[in-house]
Amino acid sequence: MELIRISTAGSVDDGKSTLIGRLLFDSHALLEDQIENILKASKKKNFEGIDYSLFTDGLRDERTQGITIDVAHLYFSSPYHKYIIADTPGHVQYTRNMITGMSNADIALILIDIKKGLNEQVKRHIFIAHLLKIPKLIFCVNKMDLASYQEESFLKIVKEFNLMNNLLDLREFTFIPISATNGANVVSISSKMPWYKGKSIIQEIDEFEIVETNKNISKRMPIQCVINSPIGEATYRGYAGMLTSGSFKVGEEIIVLPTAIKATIKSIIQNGINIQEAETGSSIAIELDREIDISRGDMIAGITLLPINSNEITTTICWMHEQPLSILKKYILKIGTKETQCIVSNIISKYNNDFDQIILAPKEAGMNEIATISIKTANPIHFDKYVSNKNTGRFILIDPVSNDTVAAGIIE
Amino acid sequence: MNYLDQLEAESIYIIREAYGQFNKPVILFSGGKDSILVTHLAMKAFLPGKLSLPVMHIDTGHNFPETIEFRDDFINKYQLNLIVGSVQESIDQNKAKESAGKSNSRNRIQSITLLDTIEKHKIDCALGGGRRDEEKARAKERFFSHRDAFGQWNPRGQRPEIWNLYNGRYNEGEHFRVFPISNWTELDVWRYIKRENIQLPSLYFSHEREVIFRDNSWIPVSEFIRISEDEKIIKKTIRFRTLGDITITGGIESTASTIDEIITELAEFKRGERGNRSDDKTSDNSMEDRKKEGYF
Repeated sequence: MELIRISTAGSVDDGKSTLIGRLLFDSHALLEDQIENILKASKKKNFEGIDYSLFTDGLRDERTQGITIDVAHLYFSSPYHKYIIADTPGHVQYTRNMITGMSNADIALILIDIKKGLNEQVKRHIFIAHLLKIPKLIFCVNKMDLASYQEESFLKIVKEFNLMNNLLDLREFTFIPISATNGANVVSISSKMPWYKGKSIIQEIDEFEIVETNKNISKRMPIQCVINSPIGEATYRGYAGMLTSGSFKVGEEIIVLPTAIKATIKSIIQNGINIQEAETGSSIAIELDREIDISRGDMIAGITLLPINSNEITTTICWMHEQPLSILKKYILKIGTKETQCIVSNIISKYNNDFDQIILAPKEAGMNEIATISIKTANPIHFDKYVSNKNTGRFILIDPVSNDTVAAGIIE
Repeated sequence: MNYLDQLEAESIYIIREAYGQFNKPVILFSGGKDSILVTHLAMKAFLPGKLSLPVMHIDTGHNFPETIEFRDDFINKYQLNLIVGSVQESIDQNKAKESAGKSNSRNRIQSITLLDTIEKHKIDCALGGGRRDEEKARAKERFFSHRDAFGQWNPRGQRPEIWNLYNGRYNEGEHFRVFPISNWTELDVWRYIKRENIQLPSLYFSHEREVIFRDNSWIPVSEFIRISEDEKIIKKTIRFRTLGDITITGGIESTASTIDEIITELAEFKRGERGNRSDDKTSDNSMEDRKKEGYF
């Protein structure tokens, strides 16, 4: 069985936490004491029955305000997959926490309130899902009960999305009409919407399969640390890291970057055991046939399909900090295990709040805005385009004064 | 890849990141299954080399004797460096004061000793066995969780944590808590313990013990608790699902004496793991409140 990571998205009060609570409740994934606690907490709020959102809103401030502030992680299994769900906040102020949850997702459940349609925040989340290239998007048109379960209202939302999608050109998505509160089309198909011929949410996610796009393509392993160990008279020297794409075999020729020195793999150790071949996603240690100066931040790559080497990149970023992006300031760029100083040399463009227009040469980019910028790094970096290799085509920016993570970027 | 292999690879990646990014990382070790698991994974992460990270035990003085015995054997067997922070010392130095209640609990004041020990040894990263499925405040925690100069967690202002790019940068006096097994569930932990044949304290397996019934669970009789007249001491066949101080850790009635039997038992359980921990029952937000103070 494989792990599937799911993230919710959508505007504030669209019912994300309620949906997840309902999904867990209807799949019998909750424990008796959890249900008892939630019943008590619901009663305290004068809520009739179970307030499903309380299963994920665990912080005091979240419960008193009735909103989600930060990502909650929940775990459950079906006969088909093991799931990790990130329930994310919809409030615009906490978009960075939504991105935290969505950044690792295989599936995004994007909620749309039937009464509100595609507002600015939903559009922002759809755009971010598009930017991150989440493999599968499920649009859950929620609160169908408030629209008397009518098909026309549902189709209106689909039409609204199609208009937006003219620009995005998303292909892998599904629309499901649901009522999270009533559990309609969440786990079981609701009889209230006979016009809907599709699947429930749980059916959709159970049928999902990860397509390993990174397999057998470019080989990349950012070095995390060096392991030294005496073996009799000699010393073992292994380069530890996670193989983020491709595979490596003992005896294979590789290239060490940035020095561009070639060497042959002498051994691969995984969990203390010698293996002949390592697959994508393994945490391993690689020993080479010759002495080379390698340290954290370097990369071992296959000798074909080399990454791009440059100190200038063009990238689309989401700015996540209250203090807007400044072209006068130095930032730290972190890509893989490498950190280097950088400056933003140019803000090329940014999207308007409805994500249907591009503003050229804006003066600044503020919190939650998505902009295309040029970055100049102090040292050259090795990277791929995000479309060809996700792991080595993404980075974060850190403010060296506050140490806050201020932006997430993908390289074009 | 099988999900246990995926979880293992993720945890090792995070442990190596902590090692690569911090000056003095340590592993928080309580003698419980989760901290044993983190130490096991950390040893694996640096094979064939030796684990250079010390393990740190915050000793409340209210231990199960079995836990301390296990700790010492474990340290000896794997030749690890042990740092001990003593709650008794904090009390003697008037830095901490014991609560007056029946359980005589030192649970809350151990945060003071923990932060003191972190400061004393200039530790900038404490790796812990916290898991997100344990408790609703822990469900909100990052892998790399920042603590300010007072050791406080700020749940409303956590740094975003995007992809697998962990930002462990901090200013003078601040530190990080890193949770490599955040994504493991209780069942995952047990299945992995079985797969790897990891040794655990005997307390996890069913045994006979003198207990009293308090706050809906079986609290072991020890020299540290105050037993009132209406509380009756009886013998019960129990085991512990989590391990904390002997004063607050309730056992569950169980005959599960092997890992397989525990896994079977867990799959049928209808109540959460920490339901027998009286430290979690003082209020609905007790974990969040303690974490804000620096609790692990």
